[in-house]
Amino acid sequence: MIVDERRLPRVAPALATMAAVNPGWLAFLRVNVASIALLHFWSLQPDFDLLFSYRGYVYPDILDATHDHVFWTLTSLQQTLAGAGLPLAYESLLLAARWAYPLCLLLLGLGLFTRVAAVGALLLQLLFTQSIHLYQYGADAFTTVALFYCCVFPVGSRYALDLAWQGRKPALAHQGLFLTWLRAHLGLAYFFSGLDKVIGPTWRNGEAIWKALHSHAYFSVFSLDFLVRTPFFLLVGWLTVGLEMGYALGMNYRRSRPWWLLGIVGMHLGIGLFMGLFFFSALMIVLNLAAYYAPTLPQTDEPT
Amino acid sequence: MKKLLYGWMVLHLTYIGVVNLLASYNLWQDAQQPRAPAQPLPGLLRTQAARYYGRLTGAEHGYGFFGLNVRSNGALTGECGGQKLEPTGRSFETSLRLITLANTLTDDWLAPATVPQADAPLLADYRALVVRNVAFTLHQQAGCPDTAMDLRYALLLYPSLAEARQGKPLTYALRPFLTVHYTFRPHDR
Repeated sequence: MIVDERRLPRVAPALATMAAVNPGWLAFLRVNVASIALLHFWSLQPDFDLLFSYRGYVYPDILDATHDHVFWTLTSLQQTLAGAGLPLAYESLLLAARWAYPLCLLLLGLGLFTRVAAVGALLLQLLFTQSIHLYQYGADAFTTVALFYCCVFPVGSRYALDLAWQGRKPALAHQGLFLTWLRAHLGLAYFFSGLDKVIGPTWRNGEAIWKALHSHAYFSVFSLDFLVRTPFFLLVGWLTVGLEMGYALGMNYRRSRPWWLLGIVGMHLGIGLFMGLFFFSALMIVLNLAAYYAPTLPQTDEPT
Repeated sequence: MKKLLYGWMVLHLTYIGVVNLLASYNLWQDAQQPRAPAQPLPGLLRTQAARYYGRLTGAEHGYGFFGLNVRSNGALTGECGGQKLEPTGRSFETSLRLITLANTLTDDWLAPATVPQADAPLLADYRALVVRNVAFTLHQQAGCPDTAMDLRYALLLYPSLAEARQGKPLTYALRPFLTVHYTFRPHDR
């Protein structure tokens, strides 16, 4: 059946249109999330010991003291293993996890043992981030979310090495539901991000943008200080709030979608270029493109 | 199968919605009446199972990054035998995480009333331990021959947009907040 999108309701990501969705978005999500997480982990390698070992600025057992233990840290996992009759030195456990996490991400990216690799990557990512909870920031939270979706969604159903030995492409019965799930999550995340900003006065008078751009040691491609006497910071503050709070509506209304997507991607590029939050920005751009751009690409005869 | 997935999706999104709604409400309340006790999560979301689910799926996170206000920055600097020391990383990513650590300490120092009164002394001891650990590692890294060192924590100040418009010079300044003198005896190592 040929679906004429113009005849469908303009608001809301109607599940009825999901038949026309390019399933390549699942592979796009998998490959990019795995790649960004891998690069993020790689970027910590020069200082790995300073963050995770007993040669670090804050020792693992001290970091562990205020952890809520809803999930393991490296220290508590070591204790659990010792309690189970598997005594393991902290450094050995750290080394094992240090190799296992990138391996899982690599397998996930390639689509080999996809589901197992995704679960392994999620658990190890949590293990690492919980172990240094005082050093955690937004990129870690969104990596957890993205890896969770890699566990639940059939991200290995296209462009994956698993398909080569399975010899067939699995049917994608619920991909519309998964896409709606991701879109709804992003809609909620952006709405509340905007709502939290508009509650206080600093995003409404430009001070928040100004302060964020001048945070200690943040990277910036060039200084925007020459704009201090213009309404630039005020406008960017309101633009950010508007883009975030109106995300669900703007992204799901067919005509505004390209412009809204451009705005959101531009906002994250700005965060990357002027605040140095590269991995956070890259991950958010990937999640947005996976939800709203990759599914709209024309379908071709796909190789496995 | 489809019904199960729908149910899971609805529950998952509801979890996220409730967590964020409460976080926004607490921010709003804080903006109206600073240091008011925060509204806790509903009992159902405080059960062990819900907490595990929230942690494993990332659904427990609030999304108010830079919301309400952008965090204040702090800087830790040390001095040992006349040598200036600063916790730094070789990669930009590590530097970001060290800033996050300093910001966490800043938040705790600037808003100590946000923790229950009974926990405040314990938390203060913990912060002192964290800072002492940073000092000790800096001391070891520098190979400082002196057994004593000072660690300073300062708030990093930069003119606000309003001040900048009034012509205030655009330079960073450190407002000393805390200086601790440590002596490391050989058996500390």
